[in-house]
Amino acid sequence: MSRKEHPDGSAAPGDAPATGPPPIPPGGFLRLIDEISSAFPESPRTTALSLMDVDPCRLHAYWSILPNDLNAARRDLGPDAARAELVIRIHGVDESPGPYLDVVVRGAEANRYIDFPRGGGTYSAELGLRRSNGSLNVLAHSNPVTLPRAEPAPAAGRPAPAIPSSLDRRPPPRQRARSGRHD
Amino acid sequence: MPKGYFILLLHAHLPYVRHPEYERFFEENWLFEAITDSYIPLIGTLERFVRQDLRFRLTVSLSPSLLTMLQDDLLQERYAGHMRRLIDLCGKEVERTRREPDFHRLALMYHARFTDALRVFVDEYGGDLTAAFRRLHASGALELITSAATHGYLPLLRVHPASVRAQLAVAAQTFERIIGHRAPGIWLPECGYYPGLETALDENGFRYFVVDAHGIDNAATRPRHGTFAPLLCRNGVAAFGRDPDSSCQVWSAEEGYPGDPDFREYYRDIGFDLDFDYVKSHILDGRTRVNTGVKYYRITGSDRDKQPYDPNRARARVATYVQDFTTRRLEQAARIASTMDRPPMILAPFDAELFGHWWYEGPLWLEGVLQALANGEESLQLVSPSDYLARHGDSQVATPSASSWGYRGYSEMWLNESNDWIYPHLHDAGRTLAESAKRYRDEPAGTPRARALNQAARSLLLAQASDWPFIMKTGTTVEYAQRRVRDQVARLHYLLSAVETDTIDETRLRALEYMDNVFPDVDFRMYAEG
Repeated sequence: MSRKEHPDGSAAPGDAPATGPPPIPPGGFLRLIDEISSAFPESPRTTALSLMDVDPCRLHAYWSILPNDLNAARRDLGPDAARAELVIRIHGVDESPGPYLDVVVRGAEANRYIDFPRGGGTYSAELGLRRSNGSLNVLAHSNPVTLPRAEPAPAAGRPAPAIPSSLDRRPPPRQRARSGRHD
Repeated sequence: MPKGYFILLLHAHLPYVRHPEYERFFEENWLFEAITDSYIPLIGTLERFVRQDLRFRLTVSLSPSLLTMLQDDLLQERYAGHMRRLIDLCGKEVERTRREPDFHRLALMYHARFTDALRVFVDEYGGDLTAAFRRLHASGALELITSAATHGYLPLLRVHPASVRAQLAVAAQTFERIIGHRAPGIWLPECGYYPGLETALDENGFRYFVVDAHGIDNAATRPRHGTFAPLLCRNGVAAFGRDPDSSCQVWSAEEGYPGDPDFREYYRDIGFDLDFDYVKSHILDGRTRVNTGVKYYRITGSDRDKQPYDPNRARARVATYVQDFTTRRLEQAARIASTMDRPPMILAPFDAELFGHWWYEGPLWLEGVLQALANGEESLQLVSPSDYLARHGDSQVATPSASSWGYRGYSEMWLNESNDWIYPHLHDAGRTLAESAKRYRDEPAGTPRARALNQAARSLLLAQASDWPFIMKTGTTVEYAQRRVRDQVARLHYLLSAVETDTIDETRLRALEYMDNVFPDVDFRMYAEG
């Protein structure tokens, strides 16, 4: 029905997939999909901690810990191990070794939303066991995350210009809709 | 010199919803409805304007996943079948409504409309609407740009930077393969931007992108002209800001034009209103009620029973709104111009599917706005972002702030309790693919191992679409969205495991290549870099 060639007439390069349906009987595709779906990793594959920015005052942390890594970390702590709490230690990347925030990990939770009183700033975190002296036996380091600016930058050397009425802050725009979706 | 510039930008995107494993599949209707309701009317209007020598410029973003679906043989055939069933249903409706004049004329309208859409699709475009977009670009009426490969929401993919680079590289590659030239700019999925993204944009040849207004307002250096002029990132890539006033008039639930009581009601459809035995052979699988696109009522108002739709009354309201919109833009430009050293630029971006699919009268409104502003060299001139940059390339240098056009302006829509479970899997899948890509980067092209790695890359890209977390949040077709992420992540791990254990099953690999046939020229090696 359609013309498939590149506008300049060239073909796709060498790693192109096989074309046309494979020799699979009717219903075979659905069986195959079900079989392959078992490859979805239900349990964590590494010990890791990641941060993402949600908005200017909120970040999201998620983590995973392999049992062997946790056991090894507890062994390292010796007598401290029984009282050691698993925490996410968050600090501003420009403030190290300045103030930090410890978020205690409860039970089997694997993610947390963390709020900050003011917008902006760059943070990183460690996941680890907190010793009684406050130091951390680190299991994983996070990526750094920068929260968005929440306000206009200060004007350079002169008063901020009047913002035209058309730029007055409005409520957030209605989220756009797409097929099958609306709000 | 005009008094101002107006950039109208339509972003066309649908997630990859091709399902050859089923005879008919509900989500494929998303594409079919968009073709009938939005893309064909848009192309028809623009081609008519070109024939009439109307001087206008419109910028259209075509996402790579949409471009690929529009070129797909199977979906083209299925669209034709879908339309034939709808035309049959409308034929029955013409008979059924013969004693109800208000509905009868609407049944005739839909019958004619669907018949014409199928004729245009098959006879004029040979089933391939991308050819129409290419022609319109060649005529000078359109500036065509693209979006990320599968519309991945880049701010939340950047934990694994190679995933961001791949979304952009595949986008550039796919657009060029299908459209025939490099995309000058990019529509960032959901306007999702973060400082630093411009480096990857530049690497892939994109010269501009669009952010929401607060991305400009909260830039690292205070913008001199707000959203009325673009900012240049330090590497020269331009950031255009969405004009909130223009958007509000169309999008706002309270103030927006689409909510007029005389406009067609979206949620009353004969697929749900009529006896199921009557409609079932014309829709989907004969077991499930779905929308048909045949809708007989107008919005009317919340305190009254729905009244029959009257196209003439609706058309009159459209004319009012065209006048309102263009007058306000001219006034806005005149008001701002006195504070600037150059004509103000107003950018109004919308989802293309709003016009026609969600807002039935939208194509008429769009037609009216383009007609009113065309030939406006001395007042408000229709331009594309590239046109603007060619005339005013000396914009202020400043880095926009992280932002999106979603709820509350940041990432909350795509990262919340309903959908946060997907990110550990997406990031882990990206890292796992990168490890394999590094290990096998010298694998010769075309071997089963190289094909399996390429297929794993397709699965990762498909899992990353912003549509899936969006749907999980809005709660519409949640099970489908969850399944898309889970299945694609599972396919990636299945393929990588087969690669690592040297147990690639040719039949299974071919089946996955056939089912997920997006981006035929993807190269897994791009994940090996960095």
